[in-house]
Parts: sequence; C-alpha cells; structure tokens
Amino acid sequence: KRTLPDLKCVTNNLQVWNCSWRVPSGTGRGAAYEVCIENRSHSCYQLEKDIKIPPLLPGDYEITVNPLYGFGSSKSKFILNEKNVSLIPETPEILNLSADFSTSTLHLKWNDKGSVFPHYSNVIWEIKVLHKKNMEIVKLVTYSTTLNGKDTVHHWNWTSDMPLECAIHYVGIRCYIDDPQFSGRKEWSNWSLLKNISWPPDSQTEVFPQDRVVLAGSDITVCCVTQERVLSAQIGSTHCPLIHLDGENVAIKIRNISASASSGTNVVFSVEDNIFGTVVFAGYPPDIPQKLNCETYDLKEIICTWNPGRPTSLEGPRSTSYTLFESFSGKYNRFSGNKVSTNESYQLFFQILSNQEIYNFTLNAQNLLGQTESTLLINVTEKVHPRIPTSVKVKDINSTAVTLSWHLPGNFTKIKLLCQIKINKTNSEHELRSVTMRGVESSNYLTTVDKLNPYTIYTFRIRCSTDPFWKWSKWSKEKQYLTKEAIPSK
Amino acid sequence: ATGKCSGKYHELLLQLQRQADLMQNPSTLLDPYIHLQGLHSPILKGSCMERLGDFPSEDVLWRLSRQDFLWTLNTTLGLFLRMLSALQQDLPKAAQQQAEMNIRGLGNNIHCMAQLLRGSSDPEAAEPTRPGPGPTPPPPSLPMLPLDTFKRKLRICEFLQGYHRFMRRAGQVLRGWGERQGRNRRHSPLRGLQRA
Repeated sequence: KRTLPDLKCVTNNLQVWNCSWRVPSGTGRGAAYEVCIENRSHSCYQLEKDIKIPPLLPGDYEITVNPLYGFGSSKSKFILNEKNVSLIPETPEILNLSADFSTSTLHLKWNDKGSVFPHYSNVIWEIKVLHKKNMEIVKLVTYSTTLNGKDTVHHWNWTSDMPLECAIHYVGIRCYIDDPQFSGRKEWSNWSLLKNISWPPDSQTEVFPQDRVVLAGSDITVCCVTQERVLSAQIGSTHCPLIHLDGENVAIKIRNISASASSGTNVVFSVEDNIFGTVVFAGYPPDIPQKLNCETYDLKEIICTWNPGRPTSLEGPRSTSYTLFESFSGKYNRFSGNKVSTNESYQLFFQILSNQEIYNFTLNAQNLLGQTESTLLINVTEKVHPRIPTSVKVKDINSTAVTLSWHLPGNFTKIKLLCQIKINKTNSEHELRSVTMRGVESSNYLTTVDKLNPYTIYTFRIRCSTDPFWKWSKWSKEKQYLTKEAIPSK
Repeated sequence: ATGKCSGKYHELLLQLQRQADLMQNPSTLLDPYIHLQGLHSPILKGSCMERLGDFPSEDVLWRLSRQDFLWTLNTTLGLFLRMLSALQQDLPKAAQQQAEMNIRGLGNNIHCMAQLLRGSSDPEAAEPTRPGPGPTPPPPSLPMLPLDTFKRKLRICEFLQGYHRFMRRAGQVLRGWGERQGRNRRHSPLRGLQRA
C-alpha cells in the first residue's frame, strides 16, 4: 500500500482535514475520483483533486481512490495517518493597531478565533514590528495564550525606544498552535496583513519626543521629522552622529544619558538657517522618604517631616509629589515640592481627629519615574513636642515664695504635663525644679515656687514636656523678679 | 511710583541714563537665564535674537514726544514686570529679583521726570497731544509662550534679548535729550527747563 504521491493534508482547526494531491500528468481536466476511507463507517467521497474530511483518530487508515471517469489511472489503495497531516492555523487578522505617541506605545488588538477550535490549546503568537525605511524588523516577540473554545480578543502593548513619530511602524502577527493531542506536524500560520501607524505628515519640522522624562543612565532616541536637510545634532554641547531614516528624517541615539540640570537637557538639530529641538528631563525616581517623623505641638495638628533623600533632578511640574495617607481614618494630605535640595526637609500637616490617638501613616513619594513610600505608626499622645511657654508672670506669695504662671497652647486636657523651672540667682547659681500638672482647657498654667530668699533678684525660665515624654519645649524667655523684703522679726 | 522726586532735570536725566545703561546689560538677566536653561552653546545663543514687535523700535521711540516716550517706556516696562512674575519657574531667582528692582527704580524716575516735564514751560515737553507725526507705538503685549519646553526656552530668550535691546534704545534716546542742541528733532534740548 502506498501513500498517495504528494498527498498533503492540512488542517487549520483540527476539525476538518483538507487533503489534496498532485493529479498524475496526462489526466484530463475534470477528472473525478471516488475516495473511500476504511474507518468504522467506510465513508466515501466524490471529488476532483482535494478532499475535506473530518479528522481521523490516530492510526493508519486505508484509503481507496477509484477514478470515476477520465482516463489514465486505475483504483489505488493508500495509507493515511494523522502524522502526515499538518496543523497550519488560519492566518490571523489584526483587529486594531493604535498608538499613544506621547508614550511611544503601540497597542495591538486581535481575535484568536478560539471558537473554531475543538478544545483548549496553547497558542504562541509571534509579533513583528518593522520600520518602513528598509522594513528592518525592530521588534520580534512571542506571546503565549490559550484557546478556550471562545473567540477572545487579545491586546499587546509595546513601547518603542524610538518615538513613533520618527518612522512609519508596521506590525504583523502569526501564530503556532501547540496542541499536545495532535500528532501531526505543527507549523506557523502565515503572517497577517501588515498594519501601520504613522505620524500625520506635517510640513513643519518637529523634534520628538517632546519634553520626555527618562531615567538617568538609560538610552534614548531623539528624532527630527523634517523636509529639510539636517546638518548636525547635539545634546547639550556634545555633537552626535546622525541616523538617517525615511526621507530627510534623522535620529540620534543617546546612550547612558546623564541626569539633567533642573531646566532639562537640550537636544538640538540644525538645518540650513534654523534650529529645532526638544528638552529631555533625565532624572531618578524618588528616594524612600527618610527620617519620617510625626509629632504634634498642641494635640490639635500633627506635623510630619521628612528628608527627600537623593535629589531626582526633576523639578517644577515634574518634581516629586508626596501624599500622606492615614489608614484608620482614610484621610490624606498632599504636598508638591517645587525646589528640592538634599538636606532640605519637607513637612505636611494632618488634623488630629477627635477620639483617635493611634495614627498609621504612609507617606507616598511619586514622580514620573516611579514611587516609593515610608510608613510610621504613632500614638499621638506620646509624640507631643510642646511649644515655647509664653506670658510668663510672677506674683508674690510672700518674701520666700511666688506663683509662676505661663501660657502653653495645646489641647492637653487628657494628658499630664511635666514642666521644669530654671531658677537663676544673680550670682549665676542656678537651680532646676520639676513640676507635673494636668493639662487644662485654658492652656494657662500656675505653680508655686518656694524656698526663695527674700529681697533677691531671681530669673525664671520654664520649659515643658509631656508624660509619657517625647521632647522638651524650648525654654521660655527669662522673667526677672525681685522677691519681697522679709518682715523684720520683732 | 513712590519716593521724593528730584527737581533737577539734568540730575534726573543722568540717573535715567545710568539706569538704562545698567538694564541694557545682558549680564543682569539674559546671561543668567541662558546659563540656567543650558542655552549657552554657540548654536543656541545664535538663535536667541530679539523678535520684532516684542518691544517698541528705535524709530518709534525717537519720534515720540518726551512725555509719550516716558509713557511708552513706563507702560512697556510695566508689562515686562508682569511677564517676569509669570516666568518665575524659568528665571534664576536672584536675576529676576534684581531686574524687578531695576525696573521699579527706573519707574520712579520716569514718574519724576514726567512730573518735571509737566511742570516745565518747554512746549515740546509738555506737548498735550499723543504721539506726533511719528507712528503710534503698537500697544505692547505679552508674547504667547509655546507649550513645548524647547520652543518656550527660545521664545523667552528672544523676549529677554528684546528687553535688553529696548533698554539700549531707550538709553540712546535719553542721551539724545541731553546732547542735541537746536536740531529740529522731537527730542530737542531743554530750553525752558533750566530750573535749579
């Protein structure tokens, strides 16, 4: 038994086998055959030179080919096996190709026509991107999906390192069905028709990308789309070799770009009597906010401070934005720094919420190149850094005792204050006394200072902290006072 | 304008000339800007030329009566001051603040000179009419700044260049007030202004 010469069986979807063979020379036109397959149902078909048959289970099947009319050949018997069949998927079709020129990103959309496939199968898609100039493949990528019996639309995005405006970009796709149950040969489909994307032709010379923010140290391609002959190109003051694209369009490839100054890095193309250019902002993603500290002066408002860490080289509208988020309350506050220098600390305020002592802060730092965050959990009553005591007053009690009063702004009614009184006598001998007291609504505080010497000039200063302790306030201004004369003893 | 005015014409004129000379110097504003924006390569500096129409031309300035010249100078610099504050993000802070102070200082003296001329008997100085036969100066306007950064940088450079060139032209006219005797130009000499 022979296999039919040049018998070629192909299937697109494992549901139908298209078998065709080369008709022996000398056979007249319109020759017809009856082809019978010895399988369970002994099915026969009348046909000319190709046959569509349902898929046969693995194994050898005897095929009888009986010429009906025409002349020159006799009945023949052949063997057909799945192994001789090729699985060549249908040529895929691109549904849509679009571009986001601002990010130089191509968006590809296609339908896998999985509904025509009998069962789950792995599919490998190969996608190619070409430039028009010489149809050079600039990107070849494989992308795997699974056929699941339904038509599924797939998306693929690709960010070109050359701005899409610089050249016409063409995209094609083909696929390979890796069906484990199929024992025949598996081959790639044909390439789809190419779809293309181009920047609307404009007589004006333009440089792309415009105002792009890139990571310092990365490579970037900048191009000049023009009808005029470009004489030279430079980044900053460094000249670059021109890469010629379509027509008069040219590009330059900048490798390992250095971090920009705050005003960005100028890239300039010169034509006969004019120049065109763009500005590239090469910088860094924000550093993790450092030394994040949150405290309160008055238990009314929390102030969080931090250090931005490494400068990003990105300023103004591209500078790092900070968001302070508190998870229990879900509230947040935002800060956009304009000028950044290494050791300048930043701050944000957060209103203290009634009946909430624990605050779980996340400080998020974000710019166009990335984001980072720091977290801090505090009990706000343990982070009180009182303000400077003010309005210090002294009143006589007697010649050896006075009352000291001061004002300490803050909502301290629920906590205890620990204050220190520095008592200086003129001969620079000084004494430190501590006093604890409950916080009061009025923020005015009073204490007695005894065991003083009569008719003596004292200088009083006060500072306060809280219990539990976090930080001392600064010392108040000095308050000088002359104690009363003692009553002469009889 | 604030501050006391000097009643001495020559003293005031000399002060105006000095201020104009200071303000026409690119090192006071344009050069720091060029440095900050990285425009110091020859090819970029070469394209930073004054754009016609940004500031009144020399021809216009020469044909104005002295009162109208002072008005044009003051109005133009007032608009430039507004532009400076709109360009804060683009300009070096120190140079911008210095330029603002220079402009305010000049404004004071413009006010004093205008007041002096109003009080003087010189028909030319006190000419009530708007600009004489010379073309009416186009009302100065702020340039529209392009969106993309590179074109914006160059446009601001042109505008600052124009400011310095305008101050040079103004300085020349002010010197013309002082120098020319008896010639039949609008800016003829002082005649009735020899007050102490």
